[in-house]
Amino acid sequence: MFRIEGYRFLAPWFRPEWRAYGFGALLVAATSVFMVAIPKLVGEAVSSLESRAPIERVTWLAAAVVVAVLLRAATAYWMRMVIIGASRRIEFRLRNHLFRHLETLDASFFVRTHTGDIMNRFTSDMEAVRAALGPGIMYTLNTLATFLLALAVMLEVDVRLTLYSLVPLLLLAVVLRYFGPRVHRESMRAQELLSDLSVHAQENFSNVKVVKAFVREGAEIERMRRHSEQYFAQNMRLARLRSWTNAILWLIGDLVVLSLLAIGGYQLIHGEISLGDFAAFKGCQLLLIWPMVALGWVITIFQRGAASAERVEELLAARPLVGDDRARAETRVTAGRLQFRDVGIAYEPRGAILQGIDIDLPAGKTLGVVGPTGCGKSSLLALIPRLLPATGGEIAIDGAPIETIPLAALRDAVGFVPQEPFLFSATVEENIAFGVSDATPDAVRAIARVVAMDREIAEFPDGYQQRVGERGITLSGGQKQRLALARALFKRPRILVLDDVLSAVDAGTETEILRGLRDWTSGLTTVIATHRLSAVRHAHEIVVLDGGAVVQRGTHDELVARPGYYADLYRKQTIEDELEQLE
Amino acid sequence: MSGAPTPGEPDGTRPAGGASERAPLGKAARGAASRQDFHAEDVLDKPFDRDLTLRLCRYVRPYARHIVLSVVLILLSTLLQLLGPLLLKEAIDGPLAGAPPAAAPDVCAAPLAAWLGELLGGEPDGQGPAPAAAGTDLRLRVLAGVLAIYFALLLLAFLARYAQTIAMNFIGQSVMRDLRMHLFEHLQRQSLTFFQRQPVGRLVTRVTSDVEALNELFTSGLVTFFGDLLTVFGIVALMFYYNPKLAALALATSPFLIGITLVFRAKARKHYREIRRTLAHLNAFTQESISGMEIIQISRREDARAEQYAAINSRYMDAYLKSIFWYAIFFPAVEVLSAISLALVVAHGGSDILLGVTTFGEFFLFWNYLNKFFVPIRDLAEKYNILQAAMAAAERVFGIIDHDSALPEPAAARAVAPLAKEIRFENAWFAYDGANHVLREVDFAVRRGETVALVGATGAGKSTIVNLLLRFHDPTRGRVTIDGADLRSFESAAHRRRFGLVLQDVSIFSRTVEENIDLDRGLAESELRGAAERVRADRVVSRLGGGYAEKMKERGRTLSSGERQLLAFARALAGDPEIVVLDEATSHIDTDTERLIQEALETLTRGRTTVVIAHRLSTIRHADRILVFHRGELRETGNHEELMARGGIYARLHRLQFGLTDAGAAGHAPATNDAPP
Repeated sequence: MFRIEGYRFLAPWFRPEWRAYGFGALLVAATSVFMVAIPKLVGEAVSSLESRAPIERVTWLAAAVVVAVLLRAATAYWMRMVIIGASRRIEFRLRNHLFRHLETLDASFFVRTHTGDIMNRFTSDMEAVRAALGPGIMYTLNTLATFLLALAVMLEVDVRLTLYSLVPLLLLAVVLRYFGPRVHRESMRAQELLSDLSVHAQENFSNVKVVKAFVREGAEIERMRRHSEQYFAQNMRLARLRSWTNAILWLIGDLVVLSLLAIGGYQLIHGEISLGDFAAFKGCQLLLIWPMVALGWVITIFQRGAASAERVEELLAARPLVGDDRARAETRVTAGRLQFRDVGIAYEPRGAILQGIDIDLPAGKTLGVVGPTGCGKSSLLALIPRLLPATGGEIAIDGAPIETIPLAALRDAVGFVPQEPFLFSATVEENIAFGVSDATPDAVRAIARVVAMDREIAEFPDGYQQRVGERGITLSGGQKQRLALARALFKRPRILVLDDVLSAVDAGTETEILRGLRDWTSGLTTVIATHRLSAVRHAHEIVVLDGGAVVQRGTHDELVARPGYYADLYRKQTIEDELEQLE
Repeated sequence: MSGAPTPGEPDGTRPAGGASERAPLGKAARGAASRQDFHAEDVLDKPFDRDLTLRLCRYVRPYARHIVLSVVLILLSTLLQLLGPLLLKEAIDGPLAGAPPAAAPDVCAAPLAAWLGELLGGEPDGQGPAPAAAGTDLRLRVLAGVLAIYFALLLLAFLARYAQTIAMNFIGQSVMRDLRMHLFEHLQRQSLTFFQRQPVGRLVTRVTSDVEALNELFTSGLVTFFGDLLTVFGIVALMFYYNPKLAALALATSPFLIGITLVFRAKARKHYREIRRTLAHLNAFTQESISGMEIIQISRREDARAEQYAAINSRYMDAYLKSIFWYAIFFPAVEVLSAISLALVVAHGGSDILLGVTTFGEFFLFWNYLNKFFVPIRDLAEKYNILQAAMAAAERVFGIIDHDSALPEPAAARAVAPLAKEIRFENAWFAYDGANHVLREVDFAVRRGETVALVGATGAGKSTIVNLLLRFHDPTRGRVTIDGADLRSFESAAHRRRFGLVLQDVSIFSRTVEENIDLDRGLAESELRGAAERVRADRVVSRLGGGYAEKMKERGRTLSSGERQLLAFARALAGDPEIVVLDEATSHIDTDTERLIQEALETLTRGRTTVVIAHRLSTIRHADRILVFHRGELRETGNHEELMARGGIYARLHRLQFGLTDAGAAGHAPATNDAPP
């Protein structure tokens, strides 16, 4: 019912907080004792009034009520701080661990798993797990303690009365058992319908041009209405269930009082119990109702938490495909000769992405990689810094299999610029010097000049200290690309890997950058994937990929002379360049 | 009708409040939301805004009767709930009272019990405390009478509560549905420019979660407020009615209660905001790290990033612990106050009982009422949070509704007649932002039955021409006419129905293949299948396991781009459009599909006025006229031969695309587009 097994993997995180939970449990017990003391004291007061005891005794009992509640308040405060605090610390550590774990995973994981999905595990799932570890545990303990203590007081008053008044509470368990799963099922269904509705809205907004061109607005509204009505109907179904549950819970609460009045009244009239007993009993019954209701709620927390815990565990179970298990500590990238022998990549569920790639690039030379979108260019490039592992064949740098080079050494030696320039929400300088801890402003400036950004940066309101990205200024695509390039150059790599990095830069700037880059990269092994052939014109070799395989290879001049993708593309770009010149 | 359970006791971990019952959004909805971003939607402080409230009231008005009903029902159930302790008092002072209470002879301590006593066969005396003095048997009978009344009240309260919860949910759900539909209908009227500016994810959030947030306002805020009000004032009134002095004592703590509630609300809100802020920061950082993971790994910043993450995480934890502190203080403090009231009642009421001024029944009554009195005031803080969240959401929703970018429709629309002569652009200019013109001085005509091709580099303005033609935008200067009538004089829907549009990026909806071709136009199955067969899309369909009934995946993932293109042709052809507009695909499609598409294209355009944006010159060689655009201006017009002879932009484009042969080659240009020069 509590689905404890789902939480088993959390044991190591639970352990450091074991004392906190233990202490918390003691506080729970204490707070329950003081809680139960109150009706007992009130009952005592009523008894002494009945027996016409001196008023001082009653006054002392009233004072005792205040003392009990103060102790109860103090322990309740402490209990909450201790248990919720412990659950928070577990969450804190678990989040940190999860984040670190994420950092070890390779690109294949991030391709497989949507960002939104990972984010959900970091947000709503973490919340659900924490709710189970905090309030979940706290209320379970509290419920248990209060229930047992109240029961003890009631039994002390009268066994028969206790048994009779437990009957409505048993009814409560039956009701929760009946309605609980139904409410759960119907609310899942409501969530599904909301998803459908949201998918409809999303598709409508994304395809607005077709909707308008085909004059489908009316039909789309009708569809939305259908979704809305279905969702409405489902929510009302759910509301009926919830209303029944709610009304029945109240009714049971009331029946408990009624049963006390009936049986207690009968016993009172027959002189079997006193009015004081009656009062104490009534107070305890009130204490019993809340735990019974809370039980249903706590079970939901645990069940939801278990489902989320499983999803968090799933994330933790993801294993990186790239590691240092074959690394030899002393192996380093030296000259930068790059060899691919029959290299392939195939992953579920995408199948073969690359196959039979053979490359031999001498140190200090440039390789051009060209091909249509989706041909495998980016995957090929990601193999070099081992962001992605090859699933077949062998890659070697300076003759050493790439897996034997320690990952840290390899990545230090490889400068990589992905297709989508990515900037962190940080300053320009921090973005350029990302990954280098002892960067000097002069060094940053020098690199900015190489990518022809120096003047533009100087014009930013805060210059090199200008924040970019989220909460910073918005950069143009070309500016982003050049900053991303600068970042890769900044760490002075042996091998430079550029994935179509100048697509958003205009031709003039591109020429300027390429010129600067050529001086700067002379002697660097460079791999450039591009749609712009001017970038690979001087490459040592160019490979044309299609469908994950090499379909053409040669130098620029050779490929232009041969019919095929490369020559086609070259002609197209010559047109574009010529049109650019037109006024 | 005892101190009834309140399942929503705040757990101290959810200062947002009230959400514990509701499951998180479903997977797709969450996905849609996450497509937006995890960055802070700034935490709005919108406690109470008169204008917003009035606008919300407009959505509630159709359900005024339900509101009245549910207020009546909640008042009824609250009243019944207040009657419970009274009956208990009657029982205690009546049949349960062991010794005759020393009440003043003119005041009967238990009038109902006395009446029951008479009814059930006591001495018809009515003066004194008859039932109490009567024998055990009569006392039991009177107790049974009280129990029967009590039970009847319970059943009535049960029904009232059920009906009231349903009514409240009905109102909430109805308002939500109406607002959602209103918002969606409003969005359907918005111009293309609007959608080009708004991220899809944000709009989806408005239609889903923001509208959802309002539901909470109705189900747990608005109506229950009346119940709470009656509870508080009813208890105060009844207490004072029975025993003014004891009531004054018992309620002496309530100013403190209100005071700490106000302090708590202010503190909780402050910390809630801080939590939201740090959490937004944490989530933004996580998302950024996931997106930039390659860079982090290649730059080997894993440790540095993890440390940064831990730092933000620890700020988040601190913010939460601070807010827990206030929750941990507040709830016990309320308990302390309520127990102090109870102690005062015990002490003072006790001496009154001994003096014979008060009865045990009254003592129980005060005890019960005190339990009920503190609940609504304690929950006030939580209700306030709900109100605030709902108001912030309402403001975002109304923000969309207030902005209307719909193109103006003519007051008296001209009837759309079949194209007789021509479509004409007359000195048309267009700028998206009003300043930078993407089209300048464009003048041309497309005559009925003609095929006209638009040619030019990326950014030349070709797509804008299509947008003006279908009246997605109106020209900023000049006009577009059909047979001499300005497009603005037609109803835009009627105008668009003339067209069949095929876009480069094919829109596939997650519906069945058949529905994707039909698009809810209600076309006959034969028409749909006929169209599919004529453009050879039937081959694609037969490849799918489910045929025409196969449900497409999101964005048509299971189809190749060429196959999606064929479906789009079928979709356009099925409507039998008068004018066909094609934004020809440039993506590299395998030669097999390409031939199919070429044939489909011919089928579709045969005998129809056609405007095609051509990326491959070979596909438009047979166009009647070719319009060459460059940087927003129409630079050359003519057929292929004329343009080639002219030796301008087109000739250059052609020469480059088909090889470096001389312009004289135009006459015997290659027959198929993929042939080498």
